[in-house]
Amino acid sequence: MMKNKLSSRDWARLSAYLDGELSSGERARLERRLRGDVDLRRALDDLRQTRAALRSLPVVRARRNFTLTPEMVAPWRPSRAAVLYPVVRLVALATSLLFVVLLFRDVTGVGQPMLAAAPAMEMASVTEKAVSPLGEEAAPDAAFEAAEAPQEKTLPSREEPLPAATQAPSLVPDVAPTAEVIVPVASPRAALPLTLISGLVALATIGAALFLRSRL
Amino acid sequence: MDEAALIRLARKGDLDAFNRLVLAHQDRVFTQAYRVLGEVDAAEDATQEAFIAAYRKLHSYRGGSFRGWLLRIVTNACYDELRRRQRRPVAPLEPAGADDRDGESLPWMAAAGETPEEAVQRAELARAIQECLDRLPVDFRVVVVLVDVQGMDYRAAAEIIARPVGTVRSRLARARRRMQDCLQSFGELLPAALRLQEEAP
Repeated sequence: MMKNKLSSRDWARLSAYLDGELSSGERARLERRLRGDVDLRRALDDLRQTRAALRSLPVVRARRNFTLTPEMVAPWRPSRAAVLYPVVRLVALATSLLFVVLLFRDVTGVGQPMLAAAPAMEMASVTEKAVSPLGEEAAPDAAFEAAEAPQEKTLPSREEPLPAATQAPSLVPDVAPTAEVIVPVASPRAALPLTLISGLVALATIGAALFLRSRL
Repeated sequence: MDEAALIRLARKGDLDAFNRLVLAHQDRVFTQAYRVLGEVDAAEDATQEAFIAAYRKLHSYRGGSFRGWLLRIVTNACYDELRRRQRRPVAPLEPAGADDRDGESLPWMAAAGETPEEAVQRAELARAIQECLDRLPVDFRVVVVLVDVQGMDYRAAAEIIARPVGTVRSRLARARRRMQDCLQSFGELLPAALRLQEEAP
C-alpha cells in the first residue's frame, strides 16, 4: 500500500493533527498536502478509525472500592529479619575473609615471621649479651637465666636439643642463627585455634544470614 | 467539599477525606492499571498500591491535576509490576479464562441501557482492542492509554511519563499505527457506526 511509504514524521503529524496538537503552520501545511495526496488522506482516515476505536473503550468500573483503612497506612516498620540481615551478612563476610587470611597464613607460612619477630629479636639481643665474653667459661649470669625463661615458655614441647647459643653461650661463639631457630615453632600453634574459631564463626554467620534472607 | 479542600484535610492525616478522593478517582486509576496490565487482579493490586503510595506521598503533591498525579503513581505501579513479572515470570496454574483475564465481559462492566447484542459487540470490540494493546511495547501502551483512553492531552501525558511532549507525540503515532495493523485482523468487529463517529478536525 502506498500509505506504507509515509515517513514516521508523516504519521506523527497525522496523529497529532487528529488530536489538534499541531501548530497552526504545521496544520496548514498538512492540510495543503492532504488536499492533493490521496494516500495521505487514506492514512488519515485509517488513523482516525483506530483512534475512534481506542476512544470507544469505556472507563472500567472497579469491582470493589480501594478506600484505605488505618492499618493499610500505618507507618511501615521493617521486620526484625530485615534489620538484622545486613548486619549478619557483613559479619559473615568479615569472618569469612578473616578465616581465608588465617588459613592462607597457616598453609603458606606467609606472615608468620612478622608475628614471631618480636620475641625472636628479644631473644637474639639477650643471647648476644649472654655470649659476649667470648672464650670465657663463665657460668650463665642473670641475663642468660632471664633469657631462658621466655624461651621455655615459647618452646614447651620442643624435644630437640636447643641451639648452642641457648645451651652454653660460652662454648659456641657464633649465635647468629638464633632467630631462625626459634621463630617457626611458636606461631602455628597459636594461630591454629584462631583459624578454627574464625572458620566456625564464619560458617555460623553465613548460616544465620541465609536463614534471615529466607525470612525476608 | 471540593477536591482542594479534601486534599488539604488528607494532608493533615484525615483518612476519611482521602477516601473520598479515592472514591472519586478509583475508576480512572483502575482503568489505567487494567489497560496497561491487561488483568483484573493485577490491576486491582496496582490500584490499591497506588492509593496507599499516594496517601503516603501526599506531601509531595505540588498542585495541578490531582487525577494526573494519581495516574502517574498508578503508571509507576504498573511498571513495577511488569518489572516484577520479568524478574519472576510465573506460569498460571490454569489458563486465563474470561473471569480473570478479560475484564470486558465481566458483569459489572455492562453499560446501562444496552441491548444484549450491543453489549456483546461492545465486549468483543473491547476484547480485541485490549488484545492489541497487550501486544504493544509497554512504553507505547502507557501513552496510548493516557491519551486515547484517559483523554489526557500531550502535555499532561508528558508530565505523567516524565518525558518531553515530542516523545509522547512519536510514541502515540507509532502505537496507533501498530494498533491499526493489529485491529485489521479484527476488522469486522469495528462497527461502521464507529467509523462515522468522528469528524475531521
